[in-house]
Amino acid sequence: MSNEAASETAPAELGYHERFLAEREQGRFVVPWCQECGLRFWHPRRHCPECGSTRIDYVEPTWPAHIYTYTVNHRPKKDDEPGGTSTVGYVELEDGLRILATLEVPLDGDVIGMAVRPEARSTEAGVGFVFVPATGS
Amino acid sequence: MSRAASPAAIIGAYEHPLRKIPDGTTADVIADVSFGALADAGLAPADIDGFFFAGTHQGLSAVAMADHLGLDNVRHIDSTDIGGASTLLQIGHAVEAIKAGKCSIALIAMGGRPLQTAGRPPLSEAGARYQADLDLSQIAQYAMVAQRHMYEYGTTREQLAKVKVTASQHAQHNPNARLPYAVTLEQVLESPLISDPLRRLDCCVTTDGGGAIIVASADVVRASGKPAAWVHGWAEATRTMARGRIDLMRGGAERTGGVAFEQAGLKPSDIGYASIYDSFTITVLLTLEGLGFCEPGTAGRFVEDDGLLAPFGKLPINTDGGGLSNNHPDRRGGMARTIEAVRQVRGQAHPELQVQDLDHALIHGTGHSLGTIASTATVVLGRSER
Repeated sequence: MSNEAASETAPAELGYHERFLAEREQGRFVVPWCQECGLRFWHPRRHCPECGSTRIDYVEPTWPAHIYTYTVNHRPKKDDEPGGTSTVGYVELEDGLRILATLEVPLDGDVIGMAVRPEARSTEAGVGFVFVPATGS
Repeated sequence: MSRAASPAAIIGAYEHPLRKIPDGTTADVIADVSFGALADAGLAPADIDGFFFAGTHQGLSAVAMADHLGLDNVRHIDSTDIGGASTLLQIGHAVEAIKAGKCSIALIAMGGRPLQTAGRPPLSEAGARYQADLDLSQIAQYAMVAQRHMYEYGTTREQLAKVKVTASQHAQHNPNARLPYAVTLEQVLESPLISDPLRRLDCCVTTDGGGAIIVASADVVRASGKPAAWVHGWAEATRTMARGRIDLMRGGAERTGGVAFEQAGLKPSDIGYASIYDSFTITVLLTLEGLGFCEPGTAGRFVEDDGLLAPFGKLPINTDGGGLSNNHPDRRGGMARTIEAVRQVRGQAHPELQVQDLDHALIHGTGHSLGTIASTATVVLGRSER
């Protein structure tokens, strides 16, 4: 292939991963779905795990989700680390998808079953999401 | 009695006696255990024509390891790696290869020295990159399973802790165990909280070491006159995240247990001893339910009242002390659990813990993580060929 031909090649369409990241940069927590068979699934991938189609698009779920399970990680204080806790869990979407997520929720009552929604957070690595209580939103 | 004669049996087994091995190389450790198993079976490297070894995760190919061991006559090779359950899968594959005439004497070996090296390399491909930003250790993943089990079924922290207490009561008879002493329920419940509800003593030990076994054809076994653990049933499966609809209360044992039991012509109540993968206390509860030793949601009650304690519990398990107290070499418990099951079937377990008149034993392995993606494999052993 000559250089001229290469320069005439249209820019490649954004891949599934890049389109996923672009949605998140816009503050949207999206899940992949197959335009061929309609399956919603997690995690993003090139091929639909039901029918194999590569016609994958993204959709923003209906909130709230509900916490399916969780754990609180306890890190002891070390010389060079402050220690502390973090909470991680599976949130279950309306259609049954269960997605691993960072949780920022009160822990003094029932946690499993709590209604939650995603909240975008800008980090050096890009936009990330934590799930917070949906009440009052 | 089983429906059909078993095509093959385990006639050699060896567990590395050490739990910290600073000297030498990992290949040397694997050679230690391989030659130990060969000696136990009365065989030499030239007798081995089937080799089963999964070591690419540690930079050891099966071909390089075969060369290192002097296995010049191998005509069937299998490096299938499904994590901690690999040994169980390899036993099944070895029996299938022997049935098909592809080999007659198979060596299955593994070993590792996680205490001598940095942490495990992170997984970056497939779905892993979509959970890379989470504070999600292996312990946290299993803790989420335990938390759901407590929520759904009312399982208690005390019931989880009981699994560790029983393991430690067995380990006190094993001088090679990493933790060769008994602990109380209170000690488990007061150990440091790692990922709620799992505490330090809900987690298996991390050890250097390894093990090896020899699986041989029925003809070879009969001619050898060696005490044998005959393989009557075997099954393997994946437990995926189900496209995002993961059910954490099903760990995969429900997919392999029934298959292995049917093949062996047995049912759970026929099993007198079980080696159950115990990476964490919750792993045992979920596995007991999946295999059908108790109904879903009832494993907590099953383990109370010393249900798992040898030799007289409802189902004695892990009489070496298991991964929780004895050994979990290379962060993979399948081989160590297998070797204790072989000891039990051959009548070579510790006299205080040997199950009397044991006809059938079961081994179950769990690989990767019950909290995300898992592999699972079950093997049923018997004292007799039929």
